[in-house]
Amino acid sequence: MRDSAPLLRLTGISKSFPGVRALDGVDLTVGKGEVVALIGENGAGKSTLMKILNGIYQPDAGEIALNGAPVSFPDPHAALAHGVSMVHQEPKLCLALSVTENVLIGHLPRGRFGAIDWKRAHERTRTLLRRVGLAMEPTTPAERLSIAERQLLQIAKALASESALIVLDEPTASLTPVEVDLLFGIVRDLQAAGVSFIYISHHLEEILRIAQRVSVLKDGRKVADRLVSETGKEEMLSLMVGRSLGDRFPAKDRRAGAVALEVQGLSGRGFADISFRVHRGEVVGIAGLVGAGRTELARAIFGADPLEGGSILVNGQPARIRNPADAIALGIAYIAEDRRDGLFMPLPVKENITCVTPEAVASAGVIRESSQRRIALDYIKRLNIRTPSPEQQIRFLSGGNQQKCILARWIIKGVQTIIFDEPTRGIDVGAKTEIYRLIDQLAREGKSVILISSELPEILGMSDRVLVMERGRLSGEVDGHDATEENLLALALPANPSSHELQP
Amino acid sequence: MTEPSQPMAAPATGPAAPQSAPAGRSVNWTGYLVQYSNVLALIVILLVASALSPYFFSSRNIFNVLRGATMVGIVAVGMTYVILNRGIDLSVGSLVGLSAALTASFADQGILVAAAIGLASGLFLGLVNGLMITVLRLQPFIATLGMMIFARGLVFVYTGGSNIAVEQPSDAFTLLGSGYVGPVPVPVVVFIAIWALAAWVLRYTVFGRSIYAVGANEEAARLSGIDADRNKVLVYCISGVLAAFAGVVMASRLTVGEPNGGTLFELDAIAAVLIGGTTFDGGVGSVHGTVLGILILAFLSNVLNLLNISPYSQMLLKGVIIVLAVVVSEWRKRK
Repeated sequence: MRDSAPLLRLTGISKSFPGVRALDGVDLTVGKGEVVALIGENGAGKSTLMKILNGIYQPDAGEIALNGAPVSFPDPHAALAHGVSMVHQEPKLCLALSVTENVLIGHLPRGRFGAIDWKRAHERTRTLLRRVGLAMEPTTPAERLSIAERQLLQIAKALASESALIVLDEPTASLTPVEVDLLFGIVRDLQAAGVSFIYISHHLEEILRIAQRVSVLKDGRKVADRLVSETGKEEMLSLMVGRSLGDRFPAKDRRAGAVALEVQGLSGRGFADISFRVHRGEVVGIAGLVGAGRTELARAIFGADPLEGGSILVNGQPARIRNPADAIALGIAYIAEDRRDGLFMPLPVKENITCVTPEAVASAGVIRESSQRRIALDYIKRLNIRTPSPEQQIRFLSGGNQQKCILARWIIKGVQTIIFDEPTRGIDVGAKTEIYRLIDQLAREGKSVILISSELPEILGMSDRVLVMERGRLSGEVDGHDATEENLLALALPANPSSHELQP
Repeated sequence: MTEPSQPMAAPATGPAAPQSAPAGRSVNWTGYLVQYSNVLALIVILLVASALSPYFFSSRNIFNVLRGATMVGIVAVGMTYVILNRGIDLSVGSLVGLSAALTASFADQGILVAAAIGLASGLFLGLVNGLMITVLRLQPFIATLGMMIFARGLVFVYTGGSNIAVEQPSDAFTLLGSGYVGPVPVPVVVFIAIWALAAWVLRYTVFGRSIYAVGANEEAARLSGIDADRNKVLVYCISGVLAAFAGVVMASRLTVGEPNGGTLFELDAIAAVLIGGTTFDGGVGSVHGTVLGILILAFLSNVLNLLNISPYSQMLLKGVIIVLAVVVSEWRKRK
């Protein structure tokens, strides 16, 4: 940007949520026809920043300027009207409708009497499809498209609204290498035609291939802005991480005991041939990229989704788990990835805490409200849950406190094995530390903990052993003391892209 | 139950949870107004009524109104369970009619046998509703719409389209619908008993709390080891049995089984549940609210009758009230 203003300039963008400062004075510029990569760990603030750019969130402070003129995006429509489009990782399409309707939604051409001029609509769609390298009939229902085609369709949709800036959020997460090449070709063509891109990805090789500049976010701040040609992969990694883990995590001098849970050759939807053991007193981390099959595996072990093969042994005995109730009876708990899957929002805290332990609060099916209240108060105190009373509806608690209520549930139940799926997602730093201490305490009491997390520092800081999953399979196991972000990432990323078969 | 060996102390961090109750010392009048709007509505109706007619507060009039409300009231108690469970039961009106027809036609076997047959029909068809919803994974609206039409068809086929009159009904047969305990009609006493039992089950039993849990978040209930399908089937069985019981009361009161008996009961019951503050989102509401809703609807039409307003015009007002009630319960949720 020499004389003229850049296409997009974000200045001093800040955004706080209750208890979390998600963004703190972030600057970002994108020039015309430039591809800028935005990288950072999960929770660094990338998605918050993009939601502000798309009018989903309003910044607390800071300015958005397009071509030098300040603008505000009160809603996604406003962003779109100013030529800013977002291509989501999981395309948001109306699957039952045709390609034309999906591409031109909102501005289908009108003919006489305001009726839709289908002939013109299909022609226009055909032109747009050609620009993104798609060759299907405009009348094809969107549900017949592959994931890759749906991504490209979203780009066509962005072009239809004459977008000058397109945000690509992990666009290659479910693409084959050939499809990635195709996508990059199209990005380059559009770039030559003056379209700018913000490219969000964990795949650093892709960034080296496609982006001109890279901006790095860490803990809500922008820590670097480099030319890709002058920056190596290692440097990007160290810019993203480079944080002292020291005092955030409890010491790892736990002692593992007998095997509590063993799975052999487990297969199901999204994962195959998984075998591992978890001992008493041990925290086993499961790392991997989003979509590697970790949640699917956990849900299947817990009986929430069906298993297709393999066996589960609990304390050395073969176990039959058909539903969550079976798993709970065998002393296995699962704390869901999406906290809302574990909460009864309109119900009081005390019921949310005691809902899995009717045996502790009821006799002959009749609830003793005094014991229910007493147990709830006890755990509210022990776990330092911030609530005005046990009668408070849980929806009024902060995310961290809600998570502690869910954990309290399983501690009261006295389960042996707890599977945590992204236990600290979206909760503030202080509550995170408390959750880590609780997990450590559980392990020290001889419980077995499986910790699924996309935050590598969390995996490194908490795990005695780390299992890594890649595309539904175990790609390796690393001792907790030897694990580094680099060796875990190496196992989590598709090792040799060309060896993967193409999707049908 | 294993407990951690030592208290889990943790650093105090994070903001305090926001309060849901009206904060501060000043009384939040709008808050209370919204919270107790349906109680207020009932009081206003009663005041207006007593000003309009000296006859209104006679025990005769009051008990007549209450007795008239019991049949829909019993159905509405079952409907409360269903809606709390995040479902809907459109078949109840037809189940009332079927049970009434069966009870009337078996009257010569004695009230107990006749009532048992009526109740069994409701239990069985309620079970079928539950199984359609859990096993076939049909939406409750669709499953019970089908049942509504099917069961009404059964009534017409069974009665041949004409009334089944009870020949010389015994005192035992008419007791449930037309008897008195002192000045209080028997159906009113029975309704109060059903209300109390239903409210107790909802509040104090694991089953009752599971109805709320499944209604609030079915996936979370499943992940907590609650058998959500079993819970739903039971709820539709209860709704079916209560509808059938209303049919027994109807047969006993009218000593006749009418092919159209119970028609539109489902809508009155749903209206009472909504006016009572139970929401379609599941997990929020109570039987007490529903009873309030029943009383509001019953006394409102009593007042309008006293004012000589035609039943047709009354429908206009009822429609407005139902929509208003839902708007208010949305406000209540946001408080």
